[in-house]
Amino acid sequence: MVTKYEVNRQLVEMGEVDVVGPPRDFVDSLAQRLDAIASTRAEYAPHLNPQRRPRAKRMVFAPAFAALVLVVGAIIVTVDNGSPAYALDDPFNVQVQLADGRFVDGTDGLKISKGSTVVVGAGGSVRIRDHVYREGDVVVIGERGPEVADHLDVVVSTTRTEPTVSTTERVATTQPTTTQAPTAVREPEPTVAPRPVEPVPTTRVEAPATTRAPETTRAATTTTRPLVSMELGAQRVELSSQVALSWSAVAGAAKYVVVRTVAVSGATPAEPVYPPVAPTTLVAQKTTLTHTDVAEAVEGTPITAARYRVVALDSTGKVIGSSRFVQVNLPR
Amino acid sequence: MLEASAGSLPITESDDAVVFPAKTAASTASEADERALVERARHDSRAFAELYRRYVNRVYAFAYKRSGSTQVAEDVTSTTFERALRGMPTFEWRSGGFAAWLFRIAANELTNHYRQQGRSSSHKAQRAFRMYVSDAVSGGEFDRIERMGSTDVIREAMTDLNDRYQQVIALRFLSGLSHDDAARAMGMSKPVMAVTLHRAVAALRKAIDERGGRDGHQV
Repeated sequence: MVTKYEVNRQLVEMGEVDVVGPPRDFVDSLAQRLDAIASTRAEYAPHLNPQRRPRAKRMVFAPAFAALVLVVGAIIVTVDNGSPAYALDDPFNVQVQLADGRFVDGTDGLKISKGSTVVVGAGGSVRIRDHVYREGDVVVIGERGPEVADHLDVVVSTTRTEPTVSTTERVATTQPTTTQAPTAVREPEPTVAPRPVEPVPTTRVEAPATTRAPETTRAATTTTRPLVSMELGAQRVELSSQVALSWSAVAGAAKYVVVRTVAVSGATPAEPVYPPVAPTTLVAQKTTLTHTDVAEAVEGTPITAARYRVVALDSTGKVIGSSRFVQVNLPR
Repeated sequence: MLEASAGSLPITESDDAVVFPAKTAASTASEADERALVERARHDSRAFAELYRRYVNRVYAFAYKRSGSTQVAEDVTSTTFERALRGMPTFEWRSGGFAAWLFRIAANELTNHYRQQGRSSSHKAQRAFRMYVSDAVSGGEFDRIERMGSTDVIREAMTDLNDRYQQVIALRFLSGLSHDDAARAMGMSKPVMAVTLHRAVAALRKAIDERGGRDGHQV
């Protein structure tokens, strides 16, 4: 029987052991992610952190300042509806198409402006100002603020609840250790980010041409049309640096674009975005539904993980479908 | 961008990582300085970046010691700082300060991780446990086996404890916090912390024994 003294001693030893610190790539990557989060939050806007005046002066200027705020606020409300005046509050399973066409995940505090579309996926919800939107709601930020433009029947995929994709290979890699450092063992598991939006707009996919609405209505429908959520599968080809990708088709797609981010030394790759902005890179443009990528090395350092995303573009280059990113670990 | 240099921590570099002794990781900043920094971090991302630099290694080490997995340590570290960033506007300075709050978040994340993972132990840990229990009586092999697997045994047995006990043990033994700060992180007085810790360790000892019993070994 283990004694309590022995348990105490071992706990103390566990606490005193030297630890190999986090890889610099991971630290840098996390710093970037935090920076991205901070940039979406109003409280980190520099102009919201002014130097305070002495209390007496504040009291003197308070009425004038309040009046000025009221006047400016009234002008903004009555004249200008184009400024980013809305923010997502406590979103869950939400995807957003910004006014510039980019697709982003709905994160807490994300600012959205007029022309943006918010799609609430299966089991999801989001608050915008004082209204809570639920599963299947397609919310368009219009002239008069957020409006539910459509409500979709959410199709729950049987594979959606499975966050981990098993692969045929599992290789443990050991990080460099010091004499006292514990062996750091990583068990790579290609993971699939939870899919926030599953609904497929049956109206867009299935509506025959003869039943199309008049032009004015079609234009409105285009702005409210949510992107199709695509399935993306990624699997390392045996123990090579090749990654086999395949994805689901999207009706009306003229081509599919694969983007990726990579990481070395065991770090976590950033989330790939479209249009590709560093560190995201464009991997391929395809008209078929498969692609084999080679994730070899970055400046001579072997890639240890890659994240992929595929988007579907129509003939005008507009994004009409997007997958969640899929991560593939490539231990060497 | 938040700058990710290692800050003032006494670190030495290895190939792609830093190595730092657990006992020397404590921040040298005074409480007043840190409090001012936290106040600025409510509105200034650069101030939060400084906090990040101060604590990222400590939080990572804490998560690693609890999990024994670099993957889990990275995940927990990421989630901890993301939650801290989101929670900064509502953070209230209490005794124990920012560190106690941050490590409490990390401890919560760790218990969440193990709750989600369930109690199905990894093969590696179960193998280590069996080796530990079966060989513990074999004289000279004891120390070797103990070094190889005892931490895994404890990590696995900790998952049998309730969240509160897990957090008390983790914060007290693995976070590098003092007894006082660990109590503050748990929101307990020192006497209550001591009693809870006593019970938690007793429960852990019992969990280790029960796991040995389930595997049919006699120690």
